[in-house]
Amino acid sequence: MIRGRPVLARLLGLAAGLAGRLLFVLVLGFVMFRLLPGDPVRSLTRGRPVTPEQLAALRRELGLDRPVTAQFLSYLGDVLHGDLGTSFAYRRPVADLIGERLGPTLLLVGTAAALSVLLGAYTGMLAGWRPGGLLDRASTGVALTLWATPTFWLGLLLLFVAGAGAGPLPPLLPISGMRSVSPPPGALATVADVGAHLILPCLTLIAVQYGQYHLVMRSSLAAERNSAYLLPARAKGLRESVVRRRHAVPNALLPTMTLALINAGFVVSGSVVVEAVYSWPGLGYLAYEALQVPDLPVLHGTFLVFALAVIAANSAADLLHAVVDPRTALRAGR
Amino acid sequence: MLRTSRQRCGLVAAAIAALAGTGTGAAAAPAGPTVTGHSAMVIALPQQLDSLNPFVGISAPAVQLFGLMYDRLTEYRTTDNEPVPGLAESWRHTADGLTWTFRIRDGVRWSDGRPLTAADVAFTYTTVMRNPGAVNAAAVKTFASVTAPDARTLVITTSVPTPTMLNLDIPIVPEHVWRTLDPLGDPPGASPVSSGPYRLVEAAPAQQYRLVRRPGHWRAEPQVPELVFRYFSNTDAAAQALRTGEVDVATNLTPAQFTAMSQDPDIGTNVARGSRFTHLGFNPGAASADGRPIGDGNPALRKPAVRAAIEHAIDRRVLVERVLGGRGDPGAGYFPPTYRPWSWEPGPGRRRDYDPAAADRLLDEAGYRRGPDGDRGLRFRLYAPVERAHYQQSGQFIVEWLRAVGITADLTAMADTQLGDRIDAGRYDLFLSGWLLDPDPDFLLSVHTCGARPAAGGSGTSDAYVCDAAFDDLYRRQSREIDRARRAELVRRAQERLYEITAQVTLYYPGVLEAYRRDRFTGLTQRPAGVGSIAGPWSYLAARPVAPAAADRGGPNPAAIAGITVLAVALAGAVFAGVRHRRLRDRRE
Repeated sequence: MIRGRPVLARLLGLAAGLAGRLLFVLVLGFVMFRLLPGDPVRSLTRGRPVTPEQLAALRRELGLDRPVTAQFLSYLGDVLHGDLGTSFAYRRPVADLIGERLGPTLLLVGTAAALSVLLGAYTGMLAGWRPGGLLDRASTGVALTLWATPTFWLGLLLLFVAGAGAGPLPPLLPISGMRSVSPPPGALATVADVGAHLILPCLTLIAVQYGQYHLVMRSSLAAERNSAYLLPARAKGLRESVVRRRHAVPNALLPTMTLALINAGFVVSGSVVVEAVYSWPGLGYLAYEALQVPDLPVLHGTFLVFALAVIAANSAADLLHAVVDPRTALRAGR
Repeated sequence: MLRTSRQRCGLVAAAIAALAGTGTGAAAAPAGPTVTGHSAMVIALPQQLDSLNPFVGISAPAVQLFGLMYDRLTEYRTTDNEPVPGLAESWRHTADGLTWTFRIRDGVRWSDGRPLTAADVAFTYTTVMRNPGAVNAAAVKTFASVTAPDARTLVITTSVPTPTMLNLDIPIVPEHVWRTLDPLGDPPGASPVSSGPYRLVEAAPAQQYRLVRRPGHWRAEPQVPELVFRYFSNTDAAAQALRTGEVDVATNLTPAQFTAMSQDPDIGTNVARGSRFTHLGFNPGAASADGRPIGDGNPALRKPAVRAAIEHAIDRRVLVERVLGGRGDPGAGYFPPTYRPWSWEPGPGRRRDYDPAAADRLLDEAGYRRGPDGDRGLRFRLYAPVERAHYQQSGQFIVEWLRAVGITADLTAMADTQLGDRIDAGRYDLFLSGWLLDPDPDFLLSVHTCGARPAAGGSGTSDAYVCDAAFDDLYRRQSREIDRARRAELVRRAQERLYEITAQVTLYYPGVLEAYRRDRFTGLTQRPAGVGSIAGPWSYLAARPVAPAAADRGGPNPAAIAGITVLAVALAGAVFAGVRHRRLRDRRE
């Protein structure tokens, strides 16, 4: 009876749902990271002259001497006021750290995700139209093999081959960071510089990711290809490629789109492995490094951002689903 | 159809362009003049720099940058690490050793042109004294007051004689900048005012830091115009970048990377010895500072004979050969023999070398006789950090050797933080760990004093709960002895005492594997001479570029990148044309 409810009530319900999820994320993040082994004060002072008094002062300064409940309440208050706290290791506001790393992560993982969807959907479409054919077996075999490849291994392999040159080949592509040591001046040159640094990490991610879209697209198109509604199109005398593109693909696209939208939520969390291989200054690696201290404010902050991105992407997927496939909206309204 | 699909392509392109914009906007632009190509020396950072605030920064990269950006009261002589004049030209102390007077160098200027005076030094030290959370707080713990009676005189009074006065290692900051700042907060700007031979002009966190030289510095005339410290999140990429010439100096290489480098005539290599040690720690009866027992350590390890037997069961030479690939030195006493003038080594008759028969005898005498299956009923947990492979490998050897003398050891790998938790709680028997050496031996001796054990409910700095009255007495006396020769004697006796009570088994002194582009830079210098590291401020200050015009920076060249781009665009164009052609053909039918 959603259709019958007033708009205000619907919005309130939505907001309450989001608030509930947010609170759950906050509590879960706080509890989860307290369970990590390791004393931040000990790891921060490891291997250097410290006195027990200094350790106590540091503990007080980081707020770790207070009871856990008091720590949680002040954390909750700070977050609701938009303050993510100050990193233990970097002694800088967590919001600044996240802000610095968000752009590079979105650039790398976002580009790779978009290209993976396009590539996977395209090869999946070709393969699904003639399941069992030579093209299907070859392309699905390649997609599955790459999907099963460990990202770290593939990344290092590309780094060694393309970055160091193989045999007579000179080193072709930069292998570390997002920009050159001395970046060329000018906006266009900057874009080219970043683009060149993007190639290897992006290629690694696409190679490992596109397979899932390939498989989903392949199987849904294979299911559509014998549908009754294609008969009139064929009877009209349309070529197979046109039948596929105009009639079958739009119907087969839905599962791929859903998968892409759900994965979009994970774009923000970056890729720890690829960021680690190519020294990419991203958010995933920031969170990974924070685990080793453990740098609790950074862990809380990044966890919150990751969770919010997934919640937002899922909500967007729900809404868009209704737009793309009116049947779901109808069912919900009935 | 055609039009809509073209629009879609346009949208995707716009989205990618927008993201590219975000990315480039996030990277900080260089704030100063940049020198391209050859003249910059690029140094690979194996670790993230934590903070550019000298009161906070603790990571190795931060300490390196501070060493170039700032000056200190005293410096270290490159040949042997002896303290030599820094900002202080000369110094003297009263007979009781409680009052030190330093003569501050004349004519030193901050990078903003203002003169550096004794007041800046007094301000820096006073700030550290007032902030126990500051990174160097332990260095000034005995300070009572620091004053600057005039611009060139600094007077420090202490509560007890302080021999570490010439090893303070505190970067001096400008009072006129820091007076109004939170000393533990964000550092001031991307190019802070400093007095060292290099100044920071670009700081892109998690990417790189760029320093340019300040000609005519009193410490040395810097020959390399720019130093760029570039972050690498894994040593494989750093090693590869060194081979292609993208970086000029890389450290902490793995044995495999190092061996591959050694073949390259353009790459110079160095094994920095004696800068750290790896040891086997015991649980000799963990207790808090007030003597209350904690944890669940195996009581057998409280007997010195059992600890000595374990040492006899271990073959250090095999560890150096098989685990370190020969790049390191077997352990003996506590500090490595190259750590002069402090190190002490047991004489030939006292060494507990590899001798399984002696281990058997000691264990028999201690009452742990072998059962019918050869086992002595001794079972120890052995914990090794996962962070470095050599701990795991050494652990496996040790398990085998202990089995040979009838002891069962269960090796468990765990994160360093987890091991720290275990040790803090006293819930361990044996562990593998290591320490980095400071120029002064005080701290690494202090970790074996009774007072370093944790206070009830608090945290301590003890390495493994060693508590011995005779050692404590020697430690206390060396920490109050101003005369360097007498102090060195006390430090040696303290190490001898640690050896007598078998406080730990010093397994080996691992070499740190370093490499640099010999075709581009020369003059990199070891500290201390003949054995030490070439990766540090002392070395970069001594380095000189090789034949400026000849070499060109390797790595990906712009022509190759341009070629690839043209090729990619052409390929995309061809694909697009093909699709379009097919579509038009479809529509015609």
